[in-house]
Amino acid sequence: MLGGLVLVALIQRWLVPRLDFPALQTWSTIFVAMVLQALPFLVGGVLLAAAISAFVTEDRLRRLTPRSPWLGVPAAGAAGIALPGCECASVPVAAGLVRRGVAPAVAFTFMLAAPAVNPVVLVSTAVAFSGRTDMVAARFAASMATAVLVGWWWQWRGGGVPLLATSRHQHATGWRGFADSARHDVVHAGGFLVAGAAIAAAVSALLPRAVLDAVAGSPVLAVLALATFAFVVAMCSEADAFVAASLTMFSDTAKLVFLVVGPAMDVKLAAMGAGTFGSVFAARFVPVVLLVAVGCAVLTGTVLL
Amino acid sequence: MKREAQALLLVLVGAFAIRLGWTDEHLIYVRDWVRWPLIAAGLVLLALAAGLVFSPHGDTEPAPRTAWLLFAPFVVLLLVSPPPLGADFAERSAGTPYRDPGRAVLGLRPLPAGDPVPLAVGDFYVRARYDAGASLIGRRVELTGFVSEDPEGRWYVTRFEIACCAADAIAVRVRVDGADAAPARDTWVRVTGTWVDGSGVARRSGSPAVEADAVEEIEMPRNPYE
Repeated sequence: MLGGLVLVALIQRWLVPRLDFPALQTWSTIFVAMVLQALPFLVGGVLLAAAISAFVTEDRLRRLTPRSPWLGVPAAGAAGIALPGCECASVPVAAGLVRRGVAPAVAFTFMLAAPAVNPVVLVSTAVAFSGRTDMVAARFAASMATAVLVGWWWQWRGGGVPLLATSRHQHATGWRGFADSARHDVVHAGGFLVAGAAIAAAVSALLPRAVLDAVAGSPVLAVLALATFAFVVAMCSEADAFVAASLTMFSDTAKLVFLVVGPAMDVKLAAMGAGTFGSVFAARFVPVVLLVAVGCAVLTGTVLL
Repeated sequence: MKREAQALLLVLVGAFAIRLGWTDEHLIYVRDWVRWPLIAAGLVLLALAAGLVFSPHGDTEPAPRTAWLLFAPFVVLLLVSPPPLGADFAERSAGTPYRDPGRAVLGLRPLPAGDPVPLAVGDFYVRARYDAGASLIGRRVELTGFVSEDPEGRWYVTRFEIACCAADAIAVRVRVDGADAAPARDTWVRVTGTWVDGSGVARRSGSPAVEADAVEEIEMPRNPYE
């Protein structure tokens, strides 16, 4: 340990002056910023999940959720409106719900809906788009449709997929269990969050915007480009509308795709999902969410915008 | 990852979060209000570490290897000491229009009294672009930002605006005309001058510009972003 500290001190003395590339500095600023912004939300989500795991009995939770998961899915979508959460918080909360016996389809709908349709996100969208209510309505409708459709799909098809979170048995209850669960979630989800943030920051720092603008003229390519962009830059749902509003070369439908895909699935969330529920889960869940989100956004955009 | 390493990880991440929140260093990365959630999160992580160290039984399950990645941002902090986003990033993202379709529909208030009037760079841009400069005519303004350049050799007083964290930063810049020589890139300056009539009004005419009376080099302000 002491050796490690000496090494760090030496490196700081000798290496730091040699790390003076502007692109590396930009990357490091954005990378650290994403982790710092996410950390309080991750910890908050982890505490809520731990509270569910340790203090809410399965009976009480069962009484709160509709008996049939098919009805529970839209109910979970509606619950997402009332609970403002960030993407980073919603993954551990969903894991906490699954551990406590809530149907995975219901938990996943909540996980997709909470960061996308809460009032904070809708207000920031309205501000970024200068009060354009049609954009706010389209974002709400498309994100809600995505969350509910993915939930129903999981209920229909997802039964056989093993979930990592459910296999972990609770050792203790009460405060002991609360602390165990919170620490478990922090070290599990945290590392993956960092990996996702490192990739997203690299894209933000290195990708020239001109590459994006080059495809803005083609309707199909524009949608695909902004869906990919949303996935790789992994922006907070409270802030992404400001960036979407600055993508002036793109059609409103393409901007909507950016706003719907981002909170539902991005590189940070895919990594956290793999860390929390397992890579088998991520391999099936991630592509389906992306497809459904793009589809819902394009349809909604065609009708409403 | 073993129990001791987990405890060390939680202590380190928690201590960093508290330190960044406590000092003004968080302003390089996030908005000011995030300091309180950061400190709170740091305290929670320290408490979790304490629970691990002082708990009587030792049946804690090992954490996955990926948990080591949590050290990465703090290693980066130590090695690179990231600066606030600056001229390099602003110049590379210069093609991105700032705030379109703008705040115009929400209405612009008249410029406050004072000569010169201290004005945010973003505010100056919006007034020129969406109000056709109406509120800027005949007024001296004072803009604070860092210096960036363009390939044609002109220079700009520049500022990043962030909504949540530096990941969503959007650069906004105002060209400086009439000053003798450009200060070095990334120098912080206070520019006093008047709006160049007609500059920045049309969508394609480029940045708004200020005809400078005075350019003063200053220290970086407490919050590097607007």
